[in-house]
Amino acid sequence: MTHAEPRPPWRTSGSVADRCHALLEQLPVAPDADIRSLVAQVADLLGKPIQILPVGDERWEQLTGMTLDAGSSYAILIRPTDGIYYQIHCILHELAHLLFGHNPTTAVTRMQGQFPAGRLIHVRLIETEDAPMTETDLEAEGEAECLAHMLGARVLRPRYSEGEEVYG
Amino acid sequence: MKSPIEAILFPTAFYLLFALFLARTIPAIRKPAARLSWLAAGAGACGVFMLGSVVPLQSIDGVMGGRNVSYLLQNLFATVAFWMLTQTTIRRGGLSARNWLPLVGIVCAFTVPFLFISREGTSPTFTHDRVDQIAMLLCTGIYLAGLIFMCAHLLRAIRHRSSRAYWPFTLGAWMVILGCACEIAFMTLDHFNAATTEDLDVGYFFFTPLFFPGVMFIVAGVGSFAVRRRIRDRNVDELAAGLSAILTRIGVSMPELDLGESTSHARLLRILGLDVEIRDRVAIRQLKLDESERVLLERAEKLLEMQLTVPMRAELWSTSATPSEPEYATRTPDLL
Repeated sequence: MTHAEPRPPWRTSGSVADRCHALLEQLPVAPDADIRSLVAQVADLLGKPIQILPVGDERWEQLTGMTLDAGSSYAILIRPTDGIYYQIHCILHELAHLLFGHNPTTAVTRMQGQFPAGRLIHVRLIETEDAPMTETDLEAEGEAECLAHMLGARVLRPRYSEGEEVYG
Repeated sequence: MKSPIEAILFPTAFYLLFALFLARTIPAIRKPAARLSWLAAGAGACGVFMLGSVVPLQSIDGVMGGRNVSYLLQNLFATVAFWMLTQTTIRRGGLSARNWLPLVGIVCAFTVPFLFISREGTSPTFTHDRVDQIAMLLCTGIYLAGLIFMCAHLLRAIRHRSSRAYWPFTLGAWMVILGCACEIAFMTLDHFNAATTEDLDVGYFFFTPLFFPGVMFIVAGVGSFAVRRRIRDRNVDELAAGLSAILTRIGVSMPELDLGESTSHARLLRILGLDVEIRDRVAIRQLKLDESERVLLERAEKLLEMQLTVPMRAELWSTSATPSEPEYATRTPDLL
């Protein structure tokens, strides 16, 4: 059942993918990297600890992930009610924002002040007719989403790829 | 004259190894990393062939002068096969010239005593017939000890890998080790006349039922990877079609991204992408799933969980690059 006119939630143009490829070339991900080692690698790169906190719930609704800057560290907040793959994707989306160094979006500005533990810098909030985004926001979210997929390809491999490579 | 158990196990082992060799020829041509284990299957088949598993031993050894040279070749092929299998498992296909030195050492170590054995007359029980000669004991002992060494390396290499995928290797390697150790022990007792004929008959009996089924388990383990991947690819294609149809229903097509190190990997990532896209559309109420679609999505997520490398939920949640608890960790209720 459709509740609204479908449209791409993020920008997915070729130039977005090109920028993601370019960034990824500067971030050599180890062949055996997993999500935890990637978080550590990004933290090293940014010079600031990153912590993953499952704190949101279904009340977050359209909000599926966010990043807080608590001064001496970053906290990526995800919904514990989501599936593990969706959570990983949301974490990768937030890491992508940090790697690109995106400015806070309009939604972030709107929500600022609701989080006393830190300064909200990024949210994975999908655009709807009720909460439209600016072109710049859509571009930034598109980059984060595209890079999240690319990083996902590096940290999520077939479980038995080691054996499949030599025996398969 | 082969015993009934040998008459069954020798041809079975040969045909399994030969079938594995043939089945993996095309993947081996395409993927350099797969070539060593493919060659191992071929060498293994040659080794079992030399036992007279499909062509009578007299005919094979007769061509080479009827002096049990087939036994040396069998040892050579089996050693090479186990070496290749072990090395490809340890080093994932990448081998330097230096990695081959232990193999050359083992082959030379059992070939030299072989040359000193008085070995006239082809015999299927050649090793037991000539065990009174120290050269025979050394030749077989070194050959079998070499196989034990390689199986131990194989077990070491796979000890931290998924037991779900590698259990046939573990079981097979242990059976080969036990069979070889048993044969060395009873040949030594035989050489020094330290056991009765009845005890030796019992001791010698164990080698074939341990060694050959052990090899077959390892062959099954190697073959299982390709079979498992094919089954997964078929399930993934079916799920991808179903998930795409859910998005098509609301006029959305998932953009293609050039992802994955292999076609099979890319297929799994496609499922992941579709899953995220559907979850996003549900979150913003563009899409409401009916019961069958919900079941399909759960099936897709279960498949991803089983087939992709992913930490446990608790491990993911405890991911942190900082050793100390930051202030916000104790204040999370405020965030809501």
